[in-house]
Amino acid sequence: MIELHSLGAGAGYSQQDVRQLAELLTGITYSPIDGLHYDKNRAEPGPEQILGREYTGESMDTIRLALRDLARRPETRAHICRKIAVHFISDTPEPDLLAQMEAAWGDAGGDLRAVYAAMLSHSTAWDPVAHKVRQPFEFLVAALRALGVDGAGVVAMSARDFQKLILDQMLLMGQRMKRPIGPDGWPEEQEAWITPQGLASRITWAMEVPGRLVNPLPDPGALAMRVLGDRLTDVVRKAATRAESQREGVGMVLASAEFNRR
Amino acid sequence: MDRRNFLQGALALGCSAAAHPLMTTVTLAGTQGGKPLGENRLIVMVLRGAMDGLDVVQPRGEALYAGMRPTLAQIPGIDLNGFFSLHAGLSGLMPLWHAGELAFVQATATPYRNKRSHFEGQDLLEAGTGMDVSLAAIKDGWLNRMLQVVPGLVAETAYAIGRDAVPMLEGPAPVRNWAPETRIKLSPQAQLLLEAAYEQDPLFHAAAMEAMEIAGDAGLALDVQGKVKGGPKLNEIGRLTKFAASRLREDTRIAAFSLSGWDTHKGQARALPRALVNLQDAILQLRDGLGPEVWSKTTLLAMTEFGRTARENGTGGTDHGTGGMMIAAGGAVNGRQILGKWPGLADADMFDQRDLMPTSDVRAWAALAMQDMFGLERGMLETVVFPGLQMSGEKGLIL
Repeated sequence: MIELHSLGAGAGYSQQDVRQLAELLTGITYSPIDGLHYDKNRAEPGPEQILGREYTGESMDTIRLALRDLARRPETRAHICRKIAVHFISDTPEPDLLAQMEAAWGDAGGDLRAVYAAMLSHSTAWDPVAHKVRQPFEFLVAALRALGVDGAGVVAMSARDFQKLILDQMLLMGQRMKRPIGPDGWPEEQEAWITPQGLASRITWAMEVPGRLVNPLPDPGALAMRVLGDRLTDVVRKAATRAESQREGVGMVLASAEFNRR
Repeated sequence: MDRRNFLQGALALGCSAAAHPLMTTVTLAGTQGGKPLGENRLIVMVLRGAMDGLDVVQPRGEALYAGMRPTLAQIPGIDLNGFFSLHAGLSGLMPLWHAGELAFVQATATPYRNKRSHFEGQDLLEAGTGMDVSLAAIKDGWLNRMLQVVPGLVAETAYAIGRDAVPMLEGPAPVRNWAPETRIKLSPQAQLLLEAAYEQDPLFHAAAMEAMEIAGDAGLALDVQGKVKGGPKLNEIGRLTKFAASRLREDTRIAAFSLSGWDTHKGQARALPRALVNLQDAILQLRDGLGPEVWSKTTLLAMTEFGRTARENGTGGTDHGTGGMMIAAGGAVNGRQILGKWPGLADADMFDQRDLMPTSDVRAWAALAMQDMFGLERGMLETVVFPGLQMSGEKGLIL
């Protein structure tokens, strides 16, 4: 909670703070009937010292107080702003972008909508160079949208098709739906996703699956212009229009580096 | 169990790649140029689900054995040394035993004690640490830490093969992933166009080139049904061993697989042979795929997260236990012997009066294999690869 989801690694907390917070959290439990609730009998008794403040009283309110204090720390503000910028903009966000996001956080009392607004009003958010690679989930959502398959279309897929054409393929691309390996979530760096295995699986999906989802397939040249817009390069346009079949032409567009970046 | 350990356990469960027991994966590490690891090959197989070592290498000479396993002990085994018998499901490995290419280590285990969770047990087996370290704090596996210290090893040629994370090989030494079922089927024209399209993006270009090379190299141009072009249909084990062998014949020196299906809580007489046939197929196919020359330099270690209860339960199965068994196969193995001190099955000789008592640390045998095959130093093995391990008395595994 401290390392990954609030202050961030190296933010000047100690193992003792981590242990004390863990003790404070004892008592939180869950049952199907009561949902998430606090059970005093499961709680470690006594006050806890976290980051120099003492928390007394065995109750959910005490835990909420501690969480609020964690959320209000300047280290948390810097850590979360950076995480958001790294996810949406670039693995190496500019200091000025981070400064504006952190300022918006301060002005709005941590309202994340203001942070996103500050991020999107910064010029680097509109850099024509796409610095990020779409994660497999994002790639599949974008590809489905490009093919005109909407949410209702996905819901209408048979369970077997959804498993074989979406979930199994996403796993081969390196992402198990909603199940990251650790509590730190999915990796952000592009090298983690564009591996030989991961890219081979994206190419194979792009070449083989669209024809099983939509009939007729879109015209590859028009698809390329529609989904890539200004980012459509000459080589990708050629690849889309000179492929031997419409199936491979669509595959070229969806497998292109431009489509796999954002 | 105290509350903090409970929380830690819950976290480890959430973290665990072991939470996907049906996943079969193989991990490979390769070298280029100077061959820093030499010519020997190490294959590590993780048997997920806790193999019942007492049913695979049965202590028939132990007076208490038959009474503790009223139905399982009725099934005849194959005598190995007058005291232990091999499960009939591995009868295909007897030629290896007679050739001195198969050995077993009885009553061995990781430092995992008292909790009996597959996920934690596998996490610890792959992390290679002791119980004194929080699993959440472990960021790499022992095979990766071994790679990190081998001088001159070209980490780019280390492969993690499989759909899923392979914790044993995860860590700072970069590894690549390849699942044998990955296909990259492009017409010659499509391949040319795509290469051109990736030309301006080095990341995509390099990954695509390597994918085509791996898929082409391994001769695994599979169609949708998993058939190799012009060949017989391969099952998952067949695809995995074919790919692994194709790499190990080249510059690869280390491979790690996982095989699942060992969690035999009931009907073990029927369930265990299904897992054993996969294990036997994998070993025999690797031997055949590697060929006599490479096989003679190969050590394969099959290890599991823990053993199972000494006594059969009410449903003809066995439950999560402690002391287990490790299998070693290969031309480099000092075979036809059963290693490890046999602790006996009397209540006082068992762990918690219910499980086989571990008499050695399974990490020590893996360390011994790496020491003897790759010349790695004991001090490094005991601190970097397996922190806290004390190699003491284990010997004679490798020729």
